[in-house]
Order: sequence, then structure tokens, then C-alpha cells
Amino acid sequence: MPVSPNNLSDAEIIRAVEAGDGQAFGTLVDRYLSAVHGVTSRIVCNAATADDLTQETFVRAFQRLHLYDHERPFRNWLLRIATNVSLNHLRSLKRERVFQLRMARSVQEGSVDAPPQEAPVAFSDWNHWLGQIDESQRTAIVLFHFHDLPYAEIADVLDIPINTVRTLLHRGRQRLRELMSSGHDRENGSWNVAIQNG
Amino acid sequence: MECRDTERLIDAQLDGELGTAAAAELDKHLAACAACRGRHGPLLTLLRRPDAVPEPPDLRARVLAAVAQAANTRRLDGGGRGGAAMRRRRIAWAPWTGAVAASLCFFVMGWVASQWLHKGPPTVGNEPAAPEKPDATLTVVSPWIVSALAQAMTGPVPEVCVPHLSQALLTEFVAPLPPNVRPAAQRRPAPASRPGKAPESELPPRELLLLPALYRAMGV
Repeated sequence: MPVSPNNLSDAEIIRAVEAGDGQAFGTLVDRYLSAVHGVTSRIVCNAATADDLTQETFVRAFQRLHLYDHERPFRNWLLRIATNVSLNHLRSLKRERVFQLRMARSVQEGSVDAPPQEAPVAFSDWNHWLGQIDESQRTAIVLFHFHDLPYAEIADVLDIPINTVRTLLHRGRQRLRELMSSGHDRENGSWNVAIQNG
Repeated sequence: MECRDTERLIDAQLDGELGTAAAAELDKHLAACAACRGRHGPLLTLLRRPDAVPEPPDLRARVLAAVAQAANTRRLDGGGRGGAAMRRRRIAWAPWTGAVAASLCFFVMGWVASQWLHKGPPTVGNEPAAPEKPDATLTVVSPWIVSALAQAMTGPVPEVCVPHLSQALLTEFVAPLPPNVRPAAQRRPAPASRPGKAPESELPPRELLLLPALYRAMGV
């Protein structure tokens, strides 16, 4: 009686892929697509980019499957790739961020026409609020609160000590609390909104 | 419970470090205190009940297509069926192949260098040198080379053999050897046929000595 691929463990599916069964990888995609897409979306805070990075994550995972350590959960390994891909993308946007910041300052100084007033943001709009905090804090919060990765895994992904992970979580929450309780975007966060809407 | 404790307790709860009784106390305070609810409520909503990320309906198909393309590219590059396992086997053999190749290279270099450095057999007294047998050759493999080769083959990467073989080559140059043993192939005189003093070396020609140091220790 043929075994349904959905009943196979991750390790069994990976062995099948390594043996040459390319179709088996589709089962892993089905299992972890939402989680990977969640990580990329919440870290880069841009829907179109998140889709591309999700695709890139699975391609990298397929190409580097021989490097996967079977002793560790496959989900965590995959989310680690997704995080690295997302953070690399954010780092490549730094020049663009500087430009956008200058644009935002020009708006505030009145030299450029201000954009139309934005509608109040609902507090459940994670895309908006997470995009306004530091990317390291955002990554720690996304991995810990939204994907249940333990401190040790987050420390491993970000290549930082575990205590630093705690600090990032604490400061990230504090920053979010301040932003959300004040009810409007801070001055140094306005350029993030410009990127998201651009 | 005071409002000033709320933030600390909420952080502990979000970290999963708050006890049941304290969690109940915190929930009770948040239900009663509008100020704390206003300050901490939005964050709790964001982190505890985040909205699902909207997923495009064609995302799965796009991901699978990209993976299939990557698989085809790998096949064209020589990965093929079971490519990962084959690559692992090739990677596993690479250090051994490199170590053996490097060891042989160093041995040849040492042999050539010894040919250049050590010239001619020692003379013993006034005894005339016996005519050379044109076919008599003696090749000695330095124990340092053998040792380095053995160490290189047990190392995880070919680079491990480089310091060992460098040491072997250096020792080849500076280590003294008994006069009847040369670290190189050379023509040896035939054993003396006339009565009198026998030649120092009783070693037969065309013999491969693997352990000249052993002969040294034995006083040969």
C-alpha cells in the first residue's frame, strides 16, 4: 500500500529528495510555505518582496539540502534561511533608505509637497508597526513571537549571544509599545512608510 | 498590583516566564485599569493574536517552478540523480587523493634534491673503488616522507599534509644518514671480490629500503 507523502516525516522526505525524487520536495513546500512566507513578510514588511524572498528561500534550501543537519528540526533550519535571505535584502536597501529619509525630511521642512493625510492605522496592522523598529529587534520579535523559535535558535540565526536576544526582544517590545500607545508614526520612522508605499 | 509593575509582568508573560497566579493577577489588573490597557493592550494584541499574512494564491506554484528549475540546472551541471550523495562521496575522497598526490610530489622533490646534494659513495681507506655495476641502484624512502604520508591520509583535509611534508622535506636535507645509505637512487659499487677488507655496505643492489633510520640504529 503506497504511503502518502503527507504521512512521511521531514527526514524521510529529505532522504527521498536526496535520492533523486524531486517531487518529494513539494511536500516540504506545502508544509512550510506559510511559515516561511510569514517570516519574510514580517521582516521585510513588503508583500511583493516577501513573495520573491519566499521563493528564494525554498530554492536555497533545495540546493543546500546536503548541508542540512538531520539532528535539528528542519523547520528551524528553513526559517533560518528565510531570515538570512530577508536580512540580506534589508541590508541591500540601506542606500535607498538614506535617500528616503532625505525625502521625508524635505517633506517636513516644507520644501516638497506633503503626501495626503493617511488614514489612522489599526493596531493589528503588524506590517506597519514592525516596519518602524530596528531590523534586529524586528527579527527577534518575529522569530520568537510569531514562529516560536527558542532563544538559542534565534541567537544562532543572528549570530549573537542569547542574552542579546533577550535584550533585543525587550527593547523591541518597548519601542512598539511607545509607538502604538502614541498612536502615530515617529519622525524617524516615516521613511519606512515611504518605502512600504513606494 | 501596581501599574508600574505591569510592563515587567507583561514582558515576563510574553517570554513564557510568568507563573499562573501572577498571570491571573495581571489579567485582572488589565481588565480593571484603562490606562494600562491603553498602554499595553495594542502590543499584546499584536503579539498574541497577529493577523495572518495574506498569501498570494499562485505562490506555491511559483515556488515549485523555481525549485524545478534549480533541479534542472543542477542536473545539467552534472548533479543528476542522487547527485547530493555522489557529491558527498567525491568530497570524501578528495582529501585522500590530494594527500597522496601531495605526498608523491614531495617525495619526488626530496629525491631530486638529494641527488643534487649527495654526490658519490664514501671511500674507505685506499682501497680502489670497484667497478660500478651499471644496473645497481638503491632507492631509499625517507621515513619522514612515510610518516608524513601516513599522517596526511588520516587528516580530514589535504592541507593537513602540507606542514608534515614540509617537515619531511626539510629533514631530508639536514638529517645525517649513515654513509652506506643514501636518500636517493644512485649507482652503488659491486661488492669487493678480492680478499681483504669487505665493503662497508653489505646491502644488495636494487633494493628498496623503507627504513634507513632503522639500519642506522642497528649500526649497519
